[in-house]
Amino acid sequence: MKRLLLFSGWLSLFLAAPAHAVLESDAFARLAVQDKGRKKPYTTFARESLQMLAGKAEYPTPGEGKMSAVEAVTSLWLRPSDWEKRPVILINYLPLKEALGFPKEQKLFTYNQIVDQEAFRNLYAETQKLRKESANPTLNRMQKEVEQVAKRLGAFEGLVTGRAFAVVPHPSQPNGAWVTVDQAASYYPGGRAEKLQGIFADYREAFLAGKSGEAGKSVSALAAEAALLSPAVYPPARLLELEHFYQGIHPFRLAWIAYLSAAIALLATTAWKTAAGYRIGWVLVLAGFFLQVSGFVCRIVISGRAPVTNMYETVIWLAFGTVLFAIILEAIYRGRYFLLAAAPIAVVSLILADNTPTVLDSAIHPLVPVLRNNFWLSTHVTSITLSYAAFALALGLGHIVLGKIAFGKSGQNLAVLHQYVYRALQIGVLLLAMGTILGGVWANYSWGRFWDWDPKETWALIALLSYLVLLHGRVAGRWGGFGLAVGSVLCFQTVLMAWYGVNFVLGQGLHSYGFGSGGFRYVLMYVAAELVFVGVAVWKAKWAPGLKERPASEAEIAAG
Amino acid sequence: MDTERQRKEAIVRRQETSFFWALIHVLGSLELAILLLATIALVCAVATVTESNFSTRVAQHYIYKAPWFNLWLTVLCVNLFAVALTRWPWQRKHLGFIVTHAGIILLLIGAMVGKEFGFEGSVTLNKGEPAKNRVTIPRTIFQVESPKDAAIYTHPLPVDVRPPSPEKAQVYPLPDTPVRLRVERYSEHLVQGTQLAPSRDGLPGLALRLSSGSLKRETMANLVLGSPETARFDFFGLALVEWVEGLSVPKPQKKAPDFFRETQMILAASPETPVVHNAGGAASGYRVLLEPDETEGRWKVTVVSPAGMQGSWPLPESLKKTRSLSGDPVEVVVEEFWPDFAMKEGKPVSLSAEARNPAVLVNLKGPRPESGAAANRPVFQLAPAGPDRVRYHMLRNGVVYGKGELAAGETMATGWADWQATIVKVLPQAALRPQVAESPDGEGTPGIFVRLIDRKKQEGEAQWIVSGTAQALEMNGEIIRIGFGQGVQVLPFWIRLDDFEVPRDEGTDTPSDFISTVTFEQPSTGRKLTATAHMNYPASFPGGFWRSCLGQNYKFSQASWNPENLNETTLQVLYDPGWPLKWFGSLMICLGIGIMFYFKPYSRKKPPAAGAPPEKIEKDETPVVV
Repeated sequence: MKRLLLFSGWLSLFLAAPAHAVLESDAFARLAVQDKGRKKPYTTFARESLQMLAGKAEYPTPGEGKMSAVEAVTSLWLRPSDWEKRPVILINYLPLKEALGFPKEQKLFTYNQIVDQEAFRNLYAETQKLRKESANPTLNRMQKEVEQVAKRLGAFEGLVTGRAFAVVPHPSQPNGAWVTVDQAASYYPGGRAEKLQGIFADYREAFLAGKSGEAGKSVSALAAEAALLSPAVYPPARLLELEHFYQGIHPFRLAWIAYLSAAIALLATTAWKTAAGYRIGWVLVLAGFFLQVSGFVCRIVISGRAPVTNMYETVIWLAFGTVLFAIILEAIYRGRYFLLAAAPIAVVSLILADNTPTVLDSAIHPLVPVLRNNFWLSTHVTSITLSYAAFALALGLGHIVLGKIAFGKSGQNLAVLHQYVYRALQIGVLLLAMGTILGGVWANYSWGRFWDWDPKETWALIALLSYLVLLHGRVAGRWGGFGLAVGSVLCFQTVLMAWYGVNFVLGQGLHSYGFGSGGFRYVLMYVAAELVFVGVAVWKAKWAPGLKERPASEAEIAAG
Repeated sequence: MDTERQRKEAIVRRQETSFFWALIHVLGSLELAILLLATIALVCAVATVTESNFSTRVAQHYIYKAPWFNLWLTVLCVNLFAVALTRWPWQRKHLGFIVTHAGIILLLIGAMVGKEFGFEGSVTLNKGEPAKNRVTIPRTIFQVESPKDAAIYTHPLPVDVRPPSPEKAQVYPLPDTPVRLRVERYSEHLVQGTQLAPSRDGLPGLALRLSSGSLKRETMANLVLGSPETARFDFFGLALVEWVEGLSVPKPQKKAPDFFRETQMILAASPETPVVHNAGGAASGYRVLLEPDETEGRWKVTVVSPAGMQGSWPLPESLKKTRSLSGDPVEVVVEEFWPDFAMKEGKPVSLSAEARNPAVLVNLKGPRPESGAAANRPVFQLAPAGPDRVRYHMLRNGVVYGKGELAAGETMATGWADWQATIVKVLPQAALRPQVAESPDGEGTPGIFVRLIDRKKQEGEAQWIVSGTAQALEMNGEIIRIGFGQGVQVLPFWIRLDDFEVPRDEGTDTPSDFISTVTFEQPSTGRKLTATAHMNYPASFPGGFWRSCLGQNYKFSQASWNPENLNETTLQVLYDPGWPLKWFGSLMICLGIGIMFYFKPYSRKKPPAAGAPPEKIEKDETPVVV
């Protein structure tokens, strides 16, 4: 119980952290902005804009502490001249910094610093030329990064010119373009625009004078007036507030904290207070799972679709699936190992999603046309990603088996763990087969063919085949439970290739909406570490006779 | 258990006594299955890397769609079938196993049926164009007309995956003739140009090469006396090259100024499609824009001249007043402004004072803009001066600023940036012949370079054949027509595009869907159907539930679009009679795996007590089905 108390204390600390900005940002939450094809609360717009420009959720100002995203973006809007000298545009790619003659350690640069570089202009002209020559050019890493920086420059221009702040709703069409406060009269002639502009002028004055109380009031009035102009088009206040709430509480961050605590509780009590530790582990895993489900519910309501449409969402979905299967299997087998295997995997994927905004973009964007089908999204994509989750669970269990062999004492009986690995593999194989086939059926409708060896299709098949080899080898008596554990780690590398590799390394084929860049070196390092780990375990198993596995005997086969 | 043991013994015995069963057990062995699964996985992995490094077509040609890969899949089929037989006589526990393996076999057979009896292609449709019944197949071919009976033969020619080169020419036999076709080159950048050739009844001709070192570009001017079209070369609109009988300095002409009078009607909602009426014929090139006025919260009219001069006037203050652009003689009068434009009883009216659908009518009057600029262009005049020699002079505004004489092969600087002119050829009697050549700047259409050869290795004259065209080739007096291009499939019905829409994400230009409305018409049955194809929802013809289930429909899925021409859409066409087999096989695979894993009678030991340390379990319980 003590542990629980401690944990809830930790939680409240976490929730309290952003409290200093609450007042103003709550007022801003009700102000909607039309940005990148979607209406969103100003707070989200600010966070995404700063994330896009600087790759950060808060802007560090030397000597003045940190500016919240809302503060920074509003300042860009209303006090643009301040930002001429402020470094705010992220360049993260070392060779690009070298090409531009920028210092290696520096990450943020001013707009003029980059635009004045002839080298940058030339590099950008090169990518533009490639884009002109072909609709889908193959760009190298440097060219992709240059385009990314150019996008940041464009976003900066949109902010400092005020163009990006489309807060005045279209008078009639739900999908019509919104305009800025300056342009309001084109939609609302006859004095209505003037009222809005008056409120905005008050706000600008209060902001520039640094009167935050008055500014907060003006923002609320501005939001209310904008909503009044076109009530049918303006998003309902509760939807804006829900999104603000979702962005504010970071449900997936809370979830990984719960899972991490669960993993620690389970690990710490393997030899001491086992039953109590097991119970605490259960409670924490369920708490994390509940937080994750709540997060998904928010995201589904906000975006109106299954939360599996980009790399960020699938990484979170993997954590969800892994824990889901662990909970189900743990409820059946009560072996403790499912929770212990799932928690670290969920923690790693959620931390990755939480902390690599430039690689895994958490923003909610409109989908490319082909993905706009909730039926196929929620069948094909969820079953594929759930299969990855089941394989990840098998990977976690495999790690436990190999860890016990590599670092544990000899003479252990791991048969039950082998069975757990097998159970997780079964779920994965069934879901991957289903998901791949459903993908074929979807492709038959959207692309006009069932199967055409697209890289994503092919790698899903390769992953499936590699797991089939693993299972058939087991049936043939080529390897036993230990082989399953080794295989669950090795075969997961094919899943990684199908999932990450096709999108981020090959970058070819029709699944192009998921493509991205970054993180390749770390993934390679991970793969290398896995191979070393497997190598050590296999070597240990060979040299410690007590651990050596025997293939299934004829008698066992007959019994089956 | 006894019957079970008897079954196992019988299975072992039949392999010893019967060759058939021994073969089945070899073909259906797990070892072979593992080998097949592993090699297919490995080959696929290699193929995806190949695709990334080369192209999709190369990976498909050499791996996925290569005969050996299909053979391998066939062996997999045989293995799946044999392994199901090895378990004969089947028992209840084999249900999932049998269903899964049969499902995979069905799926693979479905794929082969689809490949053999169906097709995939694409068709590009334009709004307002007549209906089409021909679909492009993603495969290049050549066609040859038999010299005997004029029958057309088609042969695959995969030039994009296996491009021929002069060193690696490809030779194909032709029907009903001993001569053969040699394909020597393939290019994706062919352009139609001219060539200067001697002609007995021709006039003097000149081939001139203009080249720039800094721009790395060169262009050919092939000129023949006689008409302004053949004797003049427009140098990117910046200068003029003239081939004349004798050099002369033209008098500056005083042309009567050419006036135009134009009316333009512009809707703010569709600025790209003004309604233009020009009394003098061709449009003047002036652009009129109707935009919100940022400072005043009103609307303004902007006029942009072809030379880029610009003027803006606020509305409605400028109505009916004559305005002009600075530095441009045009007169602008804004005749009408409708804040909320609509047509009522054939007349334009404004429905309200609110700017819901602003429109404006503008009158333009002035001298035609082109006449001024062209006169200042420099002129490079050349005239024949004996065999292989020319005399030249350079003119600007009727003033000669350079002259001299050149022989064939000589080069001179033109004075236009670093462009140089080289006399390539001077012919006393010449004509221009159309000629296909490779474009240096990477534009143009694909084509092949071919010639006829005979058994004695004699060669006919080589020619380019541009994709989608045919050429007559000659060899020893025999003329053979060869065509080259994409394969074509003729549909038993016609398809026409009625409408194409691209809705966008709110406030952006990003498409949110592509919607083609098409009409199908089958003359043989008189069936006519209008349907829409949009993302994820193909249009089907002839349509109907059962035809759809049995794969007897032609499916048209939205494939691509042309952002520069919103009247054009490309649809992917699929006719797949293997579809029901694929579908049913897929269902069986999923069901079978589910049954195998979760609905199988196998004895499970009592589960360990909750939270108990698992080490107490002694036996490896991982189930094995045999």
